[in-house]
Amino acid sequence: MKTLAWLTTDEFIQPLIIVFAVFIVIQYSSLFETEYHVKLIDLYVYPWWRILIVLLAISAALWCPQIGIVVALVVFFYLSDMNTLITPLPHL
Amino acid sequence: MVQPGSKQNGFAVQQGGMVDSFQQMMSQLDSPSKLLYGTLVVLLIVYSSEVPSEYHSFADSLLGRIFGIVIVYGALETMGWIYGLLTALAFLLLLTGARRTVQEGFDGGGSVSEKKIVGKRWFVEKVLGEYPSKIATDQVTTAAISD
Repeated sequence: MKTLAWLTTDEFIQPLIIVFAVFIVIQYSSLFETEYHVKLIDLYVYPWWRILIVLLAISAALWCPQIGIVVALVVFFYLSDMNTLITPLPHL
Repeated sequence: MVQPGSKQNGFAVQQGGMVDSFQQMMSQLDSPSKLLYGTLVVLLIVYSSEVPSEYHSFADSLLGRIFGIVIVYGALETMGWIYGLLTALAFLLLLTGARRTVQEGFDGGGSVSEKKIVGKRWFVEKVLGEYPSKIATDQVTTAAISD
């Protein structure tokens, strides 16, 4: 069992990021009750922002497989929710 | 192997620096076909809302789902798990973008006589983008207000 003093930076940060990403998935994405921040909604219409979001998922996957999967889930829920929000009601 | 600071044909060969980093990065890149596929998938994810609804509907059908799972599995096996993850992301976005096939509240069953749509669409239908396939009745029954 490693103590905190023997952990590398990656070993210390990666679990924190996984917990944070899981929190985002549960709190913002799966329930569809907590509204997204207004900047996230405004930025969705810009393609470069969506490209950055996908690059974030790729970078996370290159860094650590577990983080990549969780971040890909966050990205999927965000893109899917935003896509639903901008779709006119009769087309849903 | 050229030593740092050595000379070839009388010219000094530079070692390290930006050129070396660039060559190292190029040698570690995936094959062009993989990169092209990855770029196409990233574009598909980014512009998933622009994909025509016919493709969304096909992805949501039985054949489309089987096709999608096969593609995801193929990408996973042949190109690695990161490409598989990207393909799965694109496929799921295509799937969730499909129009829900919810039946209308009025289906003309029972004692309600359904009628076909005749003439132009109503203004409210144009504004809301509705394309009703049938209506339940074209007559309104009113009655006086009574206490």
